[in-house]
Amino acid sequence: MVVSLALGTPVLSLIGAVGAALTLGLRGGGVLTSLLVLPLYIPVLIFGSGAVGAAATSVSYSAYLLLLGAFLLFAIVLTPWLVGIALRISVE
Amino acid sequence: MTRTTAPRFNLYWFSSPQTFYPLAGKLVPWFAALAVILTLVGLYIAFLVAPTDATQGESYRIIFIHVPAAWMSMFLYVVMAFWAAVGLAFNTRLSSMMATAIAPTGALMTFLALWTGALWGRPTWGAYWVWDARLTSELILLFLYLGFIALQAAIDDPRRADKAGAVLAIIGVINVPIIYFSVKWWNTLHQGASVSVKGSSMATTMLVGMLIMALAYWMYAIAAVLIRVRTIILERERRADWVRELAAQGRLK
Repeated sequence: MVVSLALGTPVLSLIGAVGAALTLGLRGGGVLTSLLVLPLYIPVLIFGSGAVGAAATSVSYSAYLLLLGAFLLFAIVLTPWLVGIALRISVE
Repeated sequence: MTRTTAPRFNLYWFSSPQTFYPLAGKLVPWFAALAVILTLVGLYIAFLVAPTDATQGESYRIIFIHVPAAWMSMFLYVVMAFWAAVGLAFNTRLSSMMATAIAPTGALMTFLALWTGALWGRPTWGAYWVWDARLTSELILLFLYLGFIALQAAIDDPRRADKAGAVLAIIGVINVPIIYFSVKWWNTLHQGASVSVKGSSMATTMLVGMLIMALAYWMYAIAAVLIRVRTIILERERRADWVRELAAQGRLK
């Protein structure tokens, strides 16, 4: 469970950063950020809870952790770039 | 603004709002008429010609509404993201307007697919909703459409709205293959595809009815998007000379 949290939490933060950058300086930006970001959270949450569920019933949970790790790598590569684009749009 | 003569054949001729506006106006009635005709033919086949299903009885007939709507929901998202990306990359006004115009129709199709799916799920699966991979990813698609519309509506400057929406639309494209392949990747309650390039596992009349309905949805979507894009063009270009000229001549129908 600790590992799934360690892998999942950074992904959630990175996705949240894109949402926050897109809605920078808008009225009601907070509500909008959650609307944009929550759907993208769903896969991470599904596999995170899947890992915990598998561990609790003592079946192999490595597949869930591998998928979470893949999400994390994807997020590390792509989100800083997307945040950069979004910020540039926001400050134009 | 002087009006140059149209070149012999130039695809880019219609890429400016000024030239696209009248073209769209001419095309709308044709697509709308085709949509009505195809819907009537499709529904006739769906309810009166197609045979009753051996396992599902009459309840399967909702397939004629459900499957085309689901196809369109995914396809329209890709088209929307494509135009949004073109608008972001080349800074063309009309492509961003197209993306904005497609979003509500796409959201409608997604909602329709989810709603008819729920009505179909009740008699066949015994539940309106299950957290199945395909249903969940289709729900995410609905939220992506709504997020795109909400984000654009929240930003006052249309150019910034276009760009921010484009970034969101491009991120969301990743969801479309997930929806499409979800029935293969996971063991889902939702059945796999009955129609593929190699052939179909359905009776021919069912297939024909479904394809005609899909065509009808296409025509409807094109007509609705063209009407909406005309409105958006007028809204954004209302201070341009050509709009005032048309308005003054009373040809702004």
